[in-house]
Amino acid sequence: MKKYVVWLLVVVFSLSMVLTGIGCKKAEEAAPAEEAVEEAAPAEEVAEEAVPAEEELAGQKITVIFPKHEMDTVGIFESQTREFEELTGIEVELIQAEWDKTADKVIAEMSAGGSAYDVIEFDNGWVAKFDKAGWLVPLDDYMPSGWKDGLTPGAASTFSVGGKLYGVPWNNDIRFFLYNKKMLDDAGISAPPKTYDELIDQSKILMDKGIAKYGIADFWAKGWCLCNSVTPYIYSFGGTLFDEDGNPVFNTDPAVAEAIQFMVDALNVEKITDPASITYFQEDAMNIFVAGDTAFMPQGWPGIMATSNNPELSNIVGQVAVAEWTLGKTPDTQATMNLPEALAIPKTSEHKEAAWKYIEFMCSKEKDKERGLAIGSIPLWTELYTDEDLIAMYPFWAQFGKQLIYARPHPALEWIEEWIYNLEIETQAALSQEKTPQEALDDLLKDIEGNL
Amino acid sequence: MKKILYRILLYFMVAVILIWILAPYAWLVISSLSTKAELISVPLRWIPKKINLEGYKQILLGGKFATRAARDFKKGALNSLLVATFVTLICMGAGSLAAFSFSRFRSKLLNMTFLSILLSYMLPPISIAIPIYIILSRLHILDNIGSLVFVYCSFNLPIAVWFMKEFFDEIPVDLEEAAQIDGCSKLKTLWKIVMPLSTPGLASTAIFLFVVSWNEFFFALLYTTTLASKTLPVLVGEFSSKIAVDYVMMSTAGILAGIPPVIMAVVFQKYIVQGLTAGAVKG
Amino acid sequence: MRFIDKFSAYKSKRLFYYSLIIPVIIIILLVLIYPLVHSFYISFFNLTLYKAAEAKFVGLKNYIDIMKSASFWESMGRTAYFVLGTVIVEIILGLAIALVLNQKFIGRTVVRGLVLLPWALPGVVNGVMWKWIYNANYGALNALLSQLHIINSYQIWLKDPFVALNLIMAANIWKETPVAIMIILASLQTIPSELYEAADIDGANPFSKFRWVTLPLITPVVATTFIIKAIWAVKEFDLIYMITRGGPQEGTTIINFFIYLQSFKFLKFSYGSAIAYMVTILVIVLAVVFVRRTVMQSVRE
Repeated sequence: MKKYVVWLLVVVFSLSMVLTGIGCKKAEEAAPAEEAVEEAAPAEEVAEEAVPAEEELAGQKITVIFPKHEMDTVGIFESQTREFEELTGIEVELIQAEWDKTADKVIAEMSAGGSAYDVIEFDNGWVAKFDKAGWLVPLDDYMPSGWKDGLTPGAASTFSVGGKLYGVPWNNDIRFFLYNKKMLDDAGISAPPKTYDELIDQSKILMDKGIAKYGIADFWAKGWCLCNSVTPYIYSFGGTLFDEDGNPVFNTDPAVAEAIQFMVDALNVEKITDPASITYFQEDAMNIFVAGDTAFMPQGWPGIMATSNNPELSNIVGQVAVAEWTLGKTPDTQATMNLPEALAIPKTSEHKEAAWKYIEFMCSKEKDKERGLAIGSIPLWTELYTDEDLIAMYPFWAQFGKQLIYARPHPALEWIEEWIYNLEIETQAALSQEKTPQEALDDLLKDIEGNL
Repeated sequence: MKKILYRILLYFMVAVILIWILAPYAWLVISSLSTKAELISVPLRWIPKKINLEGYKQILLGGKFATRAARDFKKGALNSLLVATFVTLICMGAGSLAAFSFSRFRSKLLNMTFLSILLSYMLPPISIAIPIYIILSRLHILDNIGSLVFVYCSFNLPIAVWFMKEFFDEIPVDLEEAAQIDGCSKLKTLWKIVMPLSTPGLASTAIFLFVVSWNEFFFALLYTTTLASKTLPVLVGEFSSKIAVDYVMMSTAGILAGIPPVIMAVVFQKYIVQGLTAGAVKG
Repeated sequence: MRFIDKFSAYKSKRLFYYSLIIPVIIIILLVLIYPLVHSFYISFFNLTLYKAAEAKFVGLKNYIDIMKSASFWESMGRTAYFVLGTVIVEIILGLAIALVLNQKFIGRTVVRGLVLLPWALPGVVNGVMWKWIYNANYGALNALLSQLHIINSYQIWLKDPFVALNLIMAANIWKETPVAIMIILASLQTIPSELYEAADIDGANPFSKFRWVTLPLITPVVATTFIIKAIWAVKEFDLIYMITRGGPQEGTTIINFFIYLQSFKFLKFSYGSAIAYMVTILVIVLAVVFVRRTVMQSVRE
């Protein structure tokens, strides 16, 4: 009888061993790679800025995780990665998923102090938090000197702390003011609005004439999209969220309340905003725009140009134009969102040199231009904005260039997640008119007090 | 006359039930066969003009236009199958032993153990997701089918043990005592008498474990990184990018991903009903 | 048998049964013991994962803060509404449908099988499906209701927090009712037909038969189902994660999602752990109260 018990236990245990054995094998595979890195490391210590020879890196395996570029419908990031593999012999495990899920995984891994990833997504909102946690290595240690000069200034500065660059942008997500030119022509409007008052007037004309269903459709569903909408409104009314010392001034600066009041009025009083906006994510707002229901897209992104000109996806082929300015309460306060994303190397990575090679390759001018030509993603390098081939293909980039200079990022907070979470809640409360904008802002202060 | 009215009413009710159960799923099937343009048309056409088999072709046949997520589907299905199978086997194996103990032997210690096992079931697993992540990460067994199996086992054992204990409680002890007098060891009675008699109940527990493990999403998302261990629910969630969701592909993938658990549940429901019948009276 | 022999027979019997539970104990402990102990321990600190170095011991502060926190109690309130709402409706629907499925009709086996479909679908798939159905511009719900002329124009279903919560509950009910149907159906099938025949002889109508024969016999099963489903409802996560992410405003932030936000998004790990333990204690207290009542009821019967 005892024999049976023992036998059963043995069976269960051996099953478990087998399963864990699958895991141990993986650890063993990682070991030889680690040895290779250790051999390279002493060579590095000798020369200060030595970059190991390519041959030493071949055969290593790196794991890269970042979200799929919203414009990447042809899988160019993946094909460029395979190109990199062939060129260097470094094997790349590329993980691309939805932004939220990618974020969850990266944050979980960093919090656990794990070394599963060698190149990670580094979002503009995470800079303060990651800096505080000390999770990343400064890339200056790996890049040839002067390599980073020439990156678009906004992007580079966002990911720099204390003069060192911690992330190289791979997605220069800047929002631009787009509009349906044909609608304006039909209504006899010669130029898109410069101010929010003009926006309301023009929208009303278009709606009264039946040319457009609504002036704009915004993305106010609960999520980052809402913050990407309300923040530029606030900035472009001249509002300030936090002063230089990091103290909250959003509830005392009248421009902030004014901005939110404008959003509320556009929705409920002037009714130029699609009422379903409060359930829209960014793609939904774009769908409405390319279906020809709205006339303006104040915070549009470059990918919309390609989508709107694709007859399978859009009803407004050839009708979209880019304004030469972006919106503001007055032209002096115009502002738009700067939401770049970068690639960074965690301190815990065991293949840092190989990781740098990957970043260097993917974010190089050549690859950047290639992507620009293939999917219209806007460049990471300043000089590419005046590159002949690209301008020939995307003449409207000239207008992008004019709006670029007004692009601003989210506030740099360690506790950014709580900031956007509470900003979302209070803004939605104001939009559904449960609170006045000032009440919402005061409550927002109370919500986040614990973090100051 | 009354009888006919009654029959009509009965069939009407059955029809209503069927509609309620199947309508959303039917919509999912229709979506997977439509094109995006048709899905966003207003008023909505319920049957698509053109049947779009692109999604199914991409996932089932691969091909150069298939997105990476589509090509990965088969491996994801294999991972899901392995995970679900192992979880079921281990939980049934270890769980039936424990359930037998809890059922056949009363002692304070066992009672307390049983209660604490149930208690562990009540804690929202989210709160220990990161600590488990840390353990797996330090042991370098993240992204591993084995670790996923173990984690699922620990989450599902309590309810598996509880169910099986109920089923074993239904089998009268006299049969075992009779067998023991004839010289059977206790373990043999478990193997040869109790388990065969409670097969329906065990089958229903096994199916339950299989379906639950197959469908689990959040922990699979966290603990798997690459195709080495990614399960289907995680893959289904990947048919999207920073801003957009490819609804047609997602519904196609979703339907395909749901086929095995649906088959398990629908085809073997006979056992589930039988099993629950045997064990359900006492509750 | 001599006493010594009896005693050692008992001891070896006991040893045998104790050893049988070892595999289960090992599996559960192996995976859960460190996380459980660690997160309980951490709940007495103020650890935020990106400033790990600054964590210090704060005793019961987290627990006290939670009890003072309005968002926590609002979330608990929502969760209570969510749990009670879905479970009660599931059981009532489950009972009604089980009664129908207990009758004889053509194709009964097939229907009984199909009934499990909503539960068998992966949660992700469910989430995506319902999200699209509730979509304000293209959703099937809008299309259906407006084509049936029940509503004039497309509604923005997920705009209002309370409506959104109820819609999530509807989706959850669709998903989870099959389990209730199956369990109650099984229980119905164990009721001997002689009891119904006896009632018929006494001249009972269908309603009384249900009230006096069926109901008492299935009550224990229904009670157990209630507990299990309540535990599952508290743990519900996938639907919220896929459809509303806790919004609009905080309308669908039930407690499991609330913990996810605190632990995962804000990385306030200590606070999140404290919430989890508070919730567990509450659930346990409720379950104990419930089980006691049920046990006493079945003892009475």
